[in-house]
Amino acid sequence: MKSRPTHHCRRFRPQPLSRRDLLRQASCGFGGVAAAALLHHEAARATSGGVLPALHHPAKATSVIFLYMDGGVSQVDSFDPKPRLEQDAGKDPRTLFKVDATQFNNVGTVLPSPWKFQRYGQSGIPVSDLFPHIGSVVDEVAIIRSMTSEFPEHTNANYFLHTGSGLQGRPSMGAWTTYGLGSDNADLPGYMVINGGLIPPGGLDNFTNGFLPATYQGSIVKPNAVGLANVKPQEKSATHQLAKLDFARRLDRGFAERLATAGTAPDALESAITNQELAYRMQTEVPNLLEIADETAETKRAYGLESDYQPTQIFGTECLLARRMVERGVRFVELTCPKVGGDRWDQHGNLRAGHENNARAVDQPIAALIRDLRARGLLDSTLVVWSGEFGRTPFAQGKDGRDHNPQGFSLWMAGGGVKGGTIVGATDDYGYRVVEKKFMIHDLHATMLHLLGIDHERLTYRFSGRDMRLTDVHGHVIQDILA
Amino acid sequence: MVAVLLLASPGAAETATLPPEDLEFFEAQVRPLLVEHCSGCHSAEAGDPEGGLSFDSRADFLAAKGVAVAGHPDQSLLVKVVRYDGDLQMPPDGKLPAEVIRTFEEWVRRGLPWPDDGKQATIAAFDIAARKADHWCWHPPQASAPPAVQSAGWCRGEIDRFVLARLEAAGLEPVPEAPREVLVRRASEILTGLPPHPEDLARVIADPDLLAYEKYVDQLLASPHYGERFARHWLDVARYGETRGHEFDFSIPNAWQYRDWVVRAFNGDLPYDQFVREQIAGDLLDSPRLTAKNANESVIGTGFWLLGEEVHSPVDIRQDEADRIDNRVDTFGKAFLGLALGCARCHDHKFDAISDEDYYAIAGMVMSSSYRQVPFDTLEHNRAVAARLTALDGEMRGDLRPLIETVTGLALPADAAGRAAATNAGETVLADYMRPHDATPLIADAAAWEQVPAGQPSVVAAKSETPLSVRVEPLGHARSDAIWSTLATRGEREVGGLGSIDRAGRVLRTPKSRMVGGVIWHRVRGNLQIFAAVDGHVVVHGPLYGPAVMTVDTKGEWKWIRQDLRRDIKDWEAGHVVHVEYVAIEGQAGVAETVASLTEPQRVDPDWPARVNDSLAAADVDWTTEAAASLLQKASRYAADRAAILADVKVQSATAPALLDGNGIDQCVLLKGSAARPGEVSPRRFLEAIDGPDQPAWPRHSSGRKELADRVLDPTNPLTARVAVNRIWHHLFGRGLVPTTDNFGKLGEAAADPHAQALLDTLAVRFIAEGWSIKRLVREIVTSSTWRMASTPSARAIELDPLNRLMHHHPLRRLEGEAVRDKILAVSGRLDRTVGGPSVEVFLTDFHDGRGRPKTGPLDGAGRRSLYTKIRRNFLPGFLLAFDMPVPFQAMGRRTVTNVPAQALMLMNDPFVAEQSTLWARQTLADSTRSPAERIDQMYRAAFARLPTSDEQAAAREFLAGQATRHGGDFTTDPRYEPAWADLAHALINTKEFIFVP
Repeated sequence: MKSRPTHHCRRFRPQPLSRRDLLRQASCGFGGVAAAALLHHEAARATSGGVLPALHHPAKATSVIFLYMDGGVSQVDSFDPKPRLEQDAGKDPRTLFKVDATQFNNVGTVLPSPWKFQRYGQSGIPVSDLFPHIGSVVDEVAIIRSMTSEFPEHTNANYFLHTGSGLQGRPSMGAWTTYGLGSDNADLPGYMVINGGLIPPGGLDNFTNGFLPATYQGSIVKPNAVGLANVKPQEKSATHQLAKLDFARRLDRGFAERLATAGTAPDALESAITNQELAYRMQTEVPNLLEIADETAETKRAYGLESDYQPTQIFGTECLLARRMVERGVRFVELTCPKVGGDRWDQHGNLRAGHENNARAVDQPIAALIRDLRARGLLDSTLVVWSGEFGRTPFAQGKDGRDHNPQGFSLWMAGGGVKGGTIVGATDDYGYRVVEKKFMIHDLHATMLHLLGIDHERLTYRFSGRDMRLTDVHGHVIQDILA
Repeated sequence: MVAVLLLASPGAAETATLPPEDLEFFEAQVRPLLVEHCSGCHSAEAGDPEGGLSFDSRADFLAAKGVAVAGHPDQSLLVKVVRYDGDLQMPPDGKLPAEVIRTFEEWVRRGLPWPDDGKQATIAAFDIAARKADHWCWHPPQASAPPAVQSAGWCRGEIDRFVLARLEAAGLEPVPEAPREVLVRRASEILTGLPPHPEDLARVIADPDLLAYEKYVDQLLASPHYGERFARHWLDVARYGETRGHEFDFSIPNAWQYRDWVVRAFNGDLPYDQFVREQIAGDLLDSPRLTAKNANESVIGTGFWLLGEEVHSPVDIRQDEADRIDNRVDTFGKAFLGLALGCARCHDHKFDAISDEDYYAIAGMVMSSSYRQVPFDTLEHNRAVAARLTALDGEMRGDLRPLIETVTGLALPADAAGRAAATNAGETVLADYMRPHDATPLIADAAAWEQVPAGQPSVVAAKSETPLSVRVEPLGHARSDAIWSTLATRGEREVGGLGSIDRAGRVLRTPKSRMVGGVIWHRVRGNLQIFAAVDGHVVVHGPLYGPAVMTVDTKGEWKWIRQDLRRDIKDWEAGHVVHVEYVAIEGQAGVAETVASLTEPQRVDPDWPARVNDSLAAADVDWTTEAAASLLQKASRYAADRAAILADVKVQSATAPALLDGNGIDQCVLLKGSAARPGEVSPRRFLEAIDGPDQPAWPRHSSGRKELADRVLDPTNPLTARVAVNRIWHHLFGRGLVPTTDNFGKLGEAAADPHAQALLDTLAVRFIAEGWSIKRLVREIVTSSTWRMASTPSARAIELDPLNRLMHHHPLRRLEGEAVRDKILAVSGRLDRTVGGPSVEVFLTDFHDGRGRPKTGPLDGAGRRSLYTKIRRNFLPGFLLAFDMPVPFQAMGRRTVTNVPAQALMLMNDPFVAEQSTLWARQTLADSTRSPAERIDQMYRAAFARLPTSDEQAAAREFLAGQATRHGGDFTTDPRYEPAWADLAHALINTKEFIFVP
């Protein structure tokens, strides 16, 4: 399973089956084709096409795992330590610096971090006590401390982070990626979202194909459940279904023949027939993907599946599934957070307990994921991105919370093409506003696409009278984190 | 064409007049800075100049717009960005030293001296005339005589001549006509989105009449399902949704009324010009369309503008308005004109003859209107009642005033001005209802509010213990009689504070004004809901903007009520555009003045009304005099007359989202589309490329949408009819003559050849001349020889024209998601053919999650057509999404058609399909007298509009027998064994022939 398809596999769009192929395959019946596919899985694996005939430059990574920290992690409590907050604790921030409008408009006093920071690894990067496990792999990680967003409210900021626009209905980065590159495994969706229990504000449109063809929409998967919608046959047994589909296929053959010109049926018809076969295979492939019984006890323990904290088990399962997806050639995987009681990372009050619970759910599984990818030789070809939609204010909202802060926050990347053990950019003394190397979400997207071998200015789709891009008219590759 | 401009004085642009010291200042101090700090990105020579700004030469610099205002550093973007003052900061990698910034300031102050180096601008200046001349869509369509053809016998009409001429020119011939059973299926599924009824199928096939097919087309066009089908097409264009999306997916109350309006419009063949006019300005028509029950039909069309996403608690309320308006302008442009107006939001259109001034001229009209729920069914009736009331109140005033003067011995001033004192310094009067003839127009959403002057007599009728009494109003004001507070609506209310009462029909709206300061004073009497709509924000629900909605009760006294909006809304120095809405909650209410002021407005009211009322109330009035007796008698009659009129008010209404017109506001050009960077005002007008630079001034008293509709529909407008005809062509052939239905601009795809263009133009010209009838156009197309062609191309045609651009055969098409689902319901017998009404909640699986998740609807959508499934933006129906239903956020006249495994999975495994398969089997087995072969025939007719071949018959029976055995049954002994038949039904639904229309 370690071997990954090389880059050229996805540069060619699959040819629609020729009429001759179609008849040859049909002659042994639907079940025949499907059974052959199951027996010779690797041989039958097809790539599903993206639009790019060739990469714009050699790719560093072939897959993305996006760890979405829904609600917004506080930068000054995680990866951006600010001793000055101790010094000015309790002061009105408006006497210290200009405070922008916030969503809840309830500005309290400067609030120091309740957590201590430790230095980790050879790089000596400081990480707060919320994330000791991530700290242990910090040499794999490049932290950007100077990220900004344009929106201080969740929904717009979520859409912005996912689609490069604060408005609803635009294609998500996962959709753009699969639109450009296709998938290395046509038996699975190219863009999968593992829903740990929380769908972020803005809903499923965070994962939409928007104006891109429906092929590229995110498929929602649940850990420990049926998995994917409609992959479970309704029939009593596989034989019932096979007989049914075989019969339908026989009728389709007649239909195709009636519409054929010089022996060739219309493309749309041929590919619809092919898709039914793919759909049939997905019924097996998806449960196989989600079935983690074949993982070793050691692996499961490492990911936190035996944790006494249930959210850790859930997120651990998500991370393990993400690795299995990447192994199978899924192009883009996004993980959403599990419910920890209270709220996701959105601590407008009760910062200490809220952040601690959320960190406890994700910290160990994420570190395990990075180690596991490394051990299996997959980290170099997998880009791991960890981010919320914005950060939080260094001053309190009310007494013990923090409001939304898009003026400066931290995210990190690891894996394919990323220079580990790096810190880029800086916020001011309070961790409020970026003062050095200000980056926008568009820059994040440009960088992700860059690592995948795509020039973000050249991945376009004509819609609404324009050549639309994930990065709109913005975006610069963040050179400082490139290995 | 932002006029905030560069080198505003011509002198500065001429090198000859450049003083030597300025020249030296530029060369010695400014040019090095430009090279060092700016030209890295802003250079045409070095590549793509960022933002269209290049410092390579004076000419290039001049070609960019909105960069600096000569002589005014503080107003210049250039200075602001280097100061890091605002969201755009340059250079991006760090702020320049203070002395460098001072040099830039000095340069602007001196008038931007830059000697002419003789270079031509490498960035072409925006030139509307040149762009207009350069692209076909701006040139008015001309009708052409149909071209000569060799095989004229094939042609049934004009369309065929154009199509055949193309084919003959390419050396091709049309394929033969499709068999009649294919035509019946095609016509039924394309025109109504439902399969043909088996009886119709049998009848039409057997009909010896040469016009049998034409008769069937007429039958389909008369079916209510035609309107449902074409309504869904239009809803794609109108980005129709029934919720506002965003975080909690709040409802757009009663949005389905617009959907039903569209269905009725298509079914009634509402002329397309009227269809467009009512959507743009149906609230402003001199004679709105009225239904048999006197409901105002036209006003519902304006819901078109309001179907987009809306946000609660936006932190940047101005930018939120700009985004909201953008969605409306963009949808308007694409829907009616086939133009991407939205591309001109941040800058002049990059390719088309559309300036950013054009964009903001239209945006002003949108901004001038506001949202409301209109009680469309009682609107006209209650307006008539209110008019009678106003007439009576005027009569009463004329009649009773002399008598009151006689009885009290006091004079009532003839021009009953209510206000004596001047306004305070620093206050802005937003509305003044005190003087009846003053400038503030009375804008109300229906009929509830009436303007009365000071001294207006009012009569309180006698009750058991209290005798009749007469008083005069102390202040002129807008008044809502008690009856209007009882108005109630059927259907949904707003969310949040506004929705605590039924508002429709009860709203008084002030004009929109730009106000500063952030505090509003309302001089009111009674129990009212007061809503300050700031920058058009109406979804008041969430942590911010609570203070925008307040309820007051002044216990019958006139009081100044303070509303402080500063807690959540900042930046009052620059001001916000505000209007106020008043609704009487209970009893009678009045509004005299609305004033923006930080301190309480001071007024010296006239004292005569008080003296008159004191006198009337005094115990010593001699009520026995002739005048007094006459006053009492007349007052008593007026009281009775008023009561009689008010008894006619219709209290219960249905409501729909609609626009409410107000005063005209001209919008500023927003640089880069950012509300934080207003440029110069762009007065409301229509597109310059169509109506020229000199247009009559747009009205001040109105948004100007009525005029906008006139311009859109003017016969000289080159776009409207073409766009409409092309959409119909697209729906009927799967591909428009202009393939990009929503974009006729440069980036669209033009017609394939001159014949196709001539055909489109000829149809467009005739469309107007023949009264904009959609049904007539549809009929002409679907009865043409072109449309009747079979869907099997010749080998030669495929070789020469594989994409069928020349239309040598009828394209094979996959049904849309709605039609697939509707067809499943139709064949299973579950279809409920009810037309219209509130939507059915969407069925939700565990995979549908998120905030604002509603209760799930039924798996089968209550058997209703897909059109009636509620379109919740954040919970779109999974079945339809898999089959390419567009995500509703922008006009999408052309759906993408994908072919993905998810569609197959849906048909294979979705519980809905399984359930319907069983129902279909049951329906097939219902009649116990039939043989299996007859049942199979019946299913084939329902699904494919044809009979099975003998092979197919045999295969089906073999399948039934096999499945029965696999289920543990025996088909030979039990030929009505349901599980086997359900499997056959399911298999037929899974065939391609079920979802592909030949």
